[in-house]
Amino acid sequence: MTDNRPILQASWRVRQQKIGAILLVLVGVGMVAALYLSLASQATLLGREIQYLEREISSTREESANLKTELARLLSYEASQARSDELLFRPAKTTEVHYILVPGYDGVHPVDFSAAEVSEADINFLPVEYSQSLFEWASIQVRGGDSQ
Amino acid sequence: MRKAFAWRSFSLASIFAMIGIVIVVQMARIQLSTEAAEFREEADRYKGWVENIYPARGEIYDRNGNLLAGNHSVYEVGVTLDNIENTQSVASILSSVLDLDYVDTLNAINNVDDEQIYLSLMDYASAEEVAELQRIQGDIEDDSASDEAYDSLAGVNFREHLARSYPENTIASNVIGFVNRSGRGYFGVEEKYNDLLAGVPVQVWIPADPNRVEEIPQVPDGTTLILTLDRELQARTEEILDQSLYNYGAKAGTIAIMDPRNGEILAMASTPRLDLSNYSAYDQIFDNVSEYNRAINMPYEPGSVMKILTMAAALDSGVVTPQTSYTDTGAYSVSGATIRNWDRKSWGNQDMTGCLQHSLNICLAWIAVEMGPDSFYDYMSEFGLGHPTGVDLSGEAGGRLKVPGDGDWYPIDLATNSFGQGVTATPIQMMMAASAIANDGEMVTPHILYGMLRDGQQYDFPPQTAGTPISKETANTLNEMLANSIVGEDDGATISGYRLAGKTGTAQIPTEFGWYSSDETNASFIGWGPVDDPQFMIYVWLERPTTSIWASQTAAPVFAEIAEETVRILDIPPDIIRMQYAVEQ
Repeated sequence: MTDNRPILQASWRVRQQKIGAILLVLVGVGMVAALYLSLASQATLLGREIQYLEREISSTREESANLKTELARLLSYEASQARSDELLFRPAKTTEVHYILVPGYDGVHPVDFSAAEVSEADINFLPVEYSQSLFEWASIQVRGGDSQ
Repeated sequence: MRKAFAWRSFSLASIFAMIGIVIVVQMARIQLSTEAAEFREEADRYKGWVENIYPARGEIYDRNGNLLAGNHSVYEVGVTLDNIENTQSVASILSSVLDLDYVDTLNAINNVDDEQIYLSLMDYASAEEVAELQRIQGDIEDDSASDEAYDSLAGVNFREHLARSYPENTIASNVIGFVNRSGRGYFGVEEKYNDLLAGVPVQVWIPADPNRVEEIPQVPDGTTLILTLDRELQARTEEILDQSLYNYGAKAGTIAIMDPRNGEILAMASTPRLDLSNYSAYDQIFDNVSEYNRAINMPYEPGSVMKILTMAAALDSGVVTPQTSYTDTGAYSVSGATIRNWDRKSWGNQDMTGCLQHSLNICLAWIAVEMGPDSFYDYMSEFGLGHPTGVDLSGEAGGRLKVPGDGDWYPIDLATNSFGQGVTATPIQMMMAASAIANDGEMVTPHILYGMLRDGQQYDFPPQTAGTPISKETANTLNEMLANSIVGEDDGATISGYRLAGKTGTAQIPTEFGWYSSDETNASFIGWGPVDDPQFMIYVWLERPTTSIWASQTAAPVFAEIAEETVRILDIPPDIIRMQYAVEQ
C-alpha cells in the first residue's frame, strides 16, 4: 500500500526562504544603491574638480596675460633703447651697414603665430589610450605592442 | 490567550501606523508651509548665480610679434555688507589706500537698500593697491588675536579681472586707439575692430551644483590681431617727426610709410600723441577728433604733390609725353584768372620732367586745361580723390574733389586743382593714389591689419587692389621722370646708395576769409624707393613750418632721414648690392 500524502515543507523553512528572498532583494537593491552612490559621488567629485580646474584655467590665463604684458614692457622699444644706451650701442648708419649674400635667406617675414600654436599642441599630445576603442587597445596588448 | 496577544499586536500596530501617519502629515504640512517656501527660495539663491562673462580682449601685435596692446589684472574692490564689522574702519582704510573720499565711501556703505548684499566701491584698482589692502587686512587679523583691535576690514572683497594694457605707451597710439573702462574701443584699430577684439560677452547661469558643471558655456576670448606696423620703424618715425617739428618750428605733422606693392602700412606717426596708459588725458591733448590721426582724419590742400597725379593722367591719356616742350612765360590765364609759379618767375622752355623738377604751376595748369575737365576729373576720381580709401582705421575722412556740375565748381578750379589747390585729400589718400605710379599702374588699398589669430590659427589678409588708373608704361615712365627730377632740385631728399622718386609740395593755407595766407604753408613730400623695385612709400606733412615755408627745405630732408631709417630697419640693401644679387641669382 502506497502512501500518497503530499510532502509539505516545514513552515520555518518556507519563512526562511521568504526572508532569504527578501534579503537577497534588499542586498541587490543595496548594491545598486551603493553603486549609484559611488558613481554619483565620483561624478560630483569630478564636477568639483572641473570647477576647480576651470578656476585654475581662468587664473592661469590672467597670470599669463600679466606675464605677457610684463615681458612686453621689459622688451618695449623704450626699455630696449635704454639698455642699448647703457651698453653704449647706437643705431648703425646706412653707410656703416655691410650686406653679405646668405644662400637660402630671403629676408625677415612677418610673424606667424600659427606655427607656435602647432608646436604647443605637439608637446601636449594625448596618449592614444584616450582615443582608441577597448578592442583596439586589447588587440595591441595581445600583439604585445606598445600603445604609444 | 492568542486573542489577548492579537489585541496587543493590533494596538501596537495601530500606534505605529498612527505615528507613521502623523509623520507623513507633518512632512506634508512642513513642505506646504509658508516657511518652506521661504526656505526653498533661500535655497534657490545658492543653486547658482547669473554672471556676465566678458571674454578677454584680443591682443594686438606688430608684424614682428611685439605686443602693442595686451591685458593685465586689475581688481574690483567691494564689500559684502552683512560681513562688515566696522564701517568707519572700512571706509577709512579704503579711502586712504585707494584714494577715495572718506565721507562718500562711508555714505555709500551706510545708504544701501535692505536687500542689497554687495556693494562695489572701486574698480580698476591696481595689484599694488590690493596687495597693500591685503597686507593691512593681515596685520589687523594678527593684532586681533592678541588684543582688542578696533580696526577691521572684514567684509572687503577683491574681484580680479582683466583690463587693457599698452606696454609701448605712446608708440603707435594714433593707430591703435584706446579702450575705455566700459570696454569700448575708441579711435584706430581698437574702434575699427572693436567687435572682433572684444569677443561676444554672454550672460550665463553658473550652477553651484558640480554635477551641472557642463552646463557652463565656454566663452571664447576676443580675436588677436597682427598689424602691418613695424614697431622699430614706427618708433623711429615718431622720433624723427617730433625732432622735425622742433627743428622746423612746425605746428603739427604726420609721417606715414606704406609698402606700395601691397598697401601694408609700416608706420604712421602723427602729432600730438596720447599715452594710452593714461587715455583720460585725451581732452587736454586734442581739440577735435580729426587731430587724433592726421594721416587719415585730416584732409588738407596737398599742393604740388598733386602734380604727380596730374602728370600721370596727362601721360596716360596721351596729352603729353616726357619730351613734350612747354614754354613758361611766368603767367597763364584761365577763365579770367592768372596762374603764376611759386616763385612768380618764368622758366622758359621746359620738358615735362623740367615741369615736375621745378614744380611749375603754369605748366601743370596748361596740362590740365589741355586734358579738359572730363578727362582730368575722371582720372582724379580713378585715383580715389574725393572718396575714403577704405583704410581699416576708424574715422577716415574722404577729402573733397569738386567736379563740374557741383555748385561751387568754377572753370578756374581745373587749373588750380592740377597743382593741388582747391582740392583736399588726406595723406593716406595721396599715398593710395601714388601707389599706382610706384606699383606698375596698380593702385593698392592701404591697410593696417596683417592677420588675425583665432582658435590657434592665423589668418593673413591678402592685399587688395583699388583699381588701375594708369597703364604700366605710364607708371614706369613717370617713375623715371620723378627719380630724375628729384636729383638736382630736391637734393635734400636723396640718400646715398639708393635711387628714389618723389615730389615736394608747398601749399599755401586757405584762410577763413577765402584767400590764401602768404606766410603760412603746409610742407609735404611724397616719395618712394628703390625706383627699380619700390618697397616703401613715405609721405611727410609738416603743418605751418616757421624756419622756412618751403617743402624742399623742410619736408624733403625729413623724407630723406626717414628713408635712411627705413632701408636700415627693413634691411633693404643699396641698389648696387641688389643689382649684384640679381645678377648672381
